Amino acid sequence: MSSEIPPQVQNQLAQLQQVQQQAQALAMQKNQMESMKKESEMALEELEKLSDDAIVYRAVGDLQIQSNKDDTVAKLKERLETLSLRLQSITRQEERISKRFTQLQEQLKQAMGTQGQ
Amino acid sequence: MSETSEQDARNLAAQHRELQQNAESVNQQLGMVQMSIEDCTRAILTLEELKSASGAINTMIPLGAGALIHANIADVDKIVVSVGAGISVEKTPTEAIETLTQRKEELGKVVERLNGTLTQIGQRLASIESAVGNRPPQ
Repeated sequence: MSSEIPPQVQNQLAQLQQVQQQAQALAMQKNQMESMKKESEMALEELEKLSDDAIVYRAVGDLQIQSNKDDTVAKLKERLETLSLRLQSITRQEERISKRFTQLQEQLKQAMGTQGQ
Repeated sequence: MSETSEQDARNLAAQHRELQQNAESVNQQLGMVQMSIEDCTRAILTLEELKSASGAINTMIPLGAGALIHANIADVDKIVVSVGAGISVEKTPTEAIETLTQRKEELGKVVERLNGTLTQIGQRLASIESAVGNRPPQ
């Protein structure tokens, strides 16, 4: 048995690494989205406690723009919806990548097995 | 040294390294949370001072690099407090103090949780170290 790794196995290893990197990037994205969602939920919770005529400010770039409670609540709910959709999409991508990872692992095991014989 | 025990030693060393990295990460988080608590405390103390003052307050605003400018605070009845997600709310000084105190308490709970995690990591590190120390010489 030669100690050199066959090109096919090298290719599969490279693919496996690539999939692993994609999975890590997705996990980071998901973390970020989840913390943004949590922050928005907490802000919404705070806003719900306020009276309807409360003065609210929204950050627009470096500026704080005066707004009212209803508009801000509506915008926050919209943002939460968007974040939820993005999270769903990321979760689906994660599932696909996880399947691909398992698939590649199996292929590698088989390739190594046949190489060992 | 047999191959198995060598492998065990390598595994323990890897676990030890990983746990140390975890401990460092938790320590960093602790530092950040404690800074936030100090931030809240400073804001609360400032608000308490402003609340007790009557009429316009003469103060100085830092411009950076040790330079300050004189200013008058005409109104301390309205305090704008951030509630997250780029949204701030106008509150009375009392309400603002209440909000910040609540935030400080929540951060205190986070500190407790992180300290608990650190203790667990410390225990696991100690058990690995004792396992390595008790290994018979090969």
